Amino acid sequence: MARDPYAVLGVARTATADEIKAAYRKLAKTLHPDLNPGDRSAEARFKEVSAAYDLLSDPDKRRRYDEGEIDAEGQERPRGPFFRDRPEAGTFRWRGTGRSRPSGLQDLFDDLFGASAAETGFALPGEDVRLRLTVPFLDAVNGGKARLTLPSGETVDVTIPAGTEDGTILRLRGKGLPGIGEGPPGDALVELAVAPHPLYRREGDLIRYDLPVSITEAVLGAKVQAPTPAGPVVLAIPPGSNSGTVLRLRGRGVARADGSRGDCLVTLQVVLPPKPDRELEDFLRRWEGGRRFDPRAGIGG
Amino acid sequence: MDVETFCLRACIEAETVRRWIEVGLVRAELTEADLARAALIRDLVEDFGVNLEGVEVALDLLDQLHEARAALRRVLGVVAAADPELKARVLAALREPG
Repeated sequence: MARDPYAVLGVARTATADEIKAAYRKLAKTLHPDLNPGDRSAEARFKEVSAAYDLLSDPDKRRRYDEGEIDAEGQERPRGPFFRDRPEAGTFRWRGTGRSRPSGLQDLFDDLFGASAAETGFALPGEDVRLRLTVPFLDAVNGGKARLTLPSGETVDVTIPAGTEDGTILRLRGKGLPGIGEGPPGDALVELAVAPHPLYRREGDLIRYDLPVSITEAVLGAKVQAPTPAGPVVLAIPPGSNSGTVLRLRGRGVARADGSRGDCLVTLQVVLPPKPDRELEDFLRRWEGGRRFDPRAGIGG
Repeated sequence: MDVETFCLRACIEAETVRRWIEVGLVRAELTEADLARAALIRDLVEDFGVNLEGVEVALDLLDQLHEARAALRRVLGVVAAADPELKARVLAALREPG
């Protein structure tokens, strides 16, 4: 249960609307988080005071509260977000339209660093801003472009380098917060998160995936089309291949900075036809070689 | 963000936002920082009874305060990274009254 709103504002239960407003303004001016940027404790008190005011400044809510119909909770409008909590708060004097003026700190820095500072102007570099960008798997493997919106609202096209790994940080020079005086702007540091792919798995500059083959292709050998990040290729399945056989496609994996590529490793998975095949069953019943072969010979456990 | 979302989140009318953009209190990009700024302007106008002229004065002073705080934070960052003795002297100076 929230505290009694009359007590929070420090007014009598008989106070007029004007007295309530005056009491609220007096308190809120000293407690509003944006008017007290350095005071972390002001925010909770401010919210309590403004919640009390939201209730008592509405004649209908005030009457229902007085008559015990509602309690002091849940009657308030949401407050904030607060400007002081934005990292860009110190940069608005440069960004406004026609309101920009030189830094109000010039004289202080001149005092501190003497005449040379006064001549050259005091300069501090701007701060860096940190961002995160999710990149499609194949854009990270092959290289690509992505559009990014900076906290300032500016959109930039960034180049995703070929072979980008998850967690790579791109530095966009001068795209951070502006500097003070002649100081250069900070940088935008963009952390790239690579999205997973439904087929491909990545190990460094290797790409691995499982390729289904029919029992006929596995036993007799075949040429089949196989996808790779560098485009589809014709893959020769050697006769007598098995589930788990790994075939290497050279230079079809992850692109490297020098233009070459890692390899693509394809693991074959022998897949039976979805419906039982009478002819195949008849053959297997007659097949002596199949009966003599024990795939579990030598297995431990 | 678009004007509609902005107004909804800041609990203000579209007409009001347009006027604030015109006089340069809020930027036309309407970022999250502009939203927080608009919420402050709304509190100053609706709760504290400050008129638009007064808001401009208050925000200009507040922007200078934030700028000074950001600059001081960076200066202190440089001091902290420098020499422990210098850091102790700066701390002592900050505690001195006036």
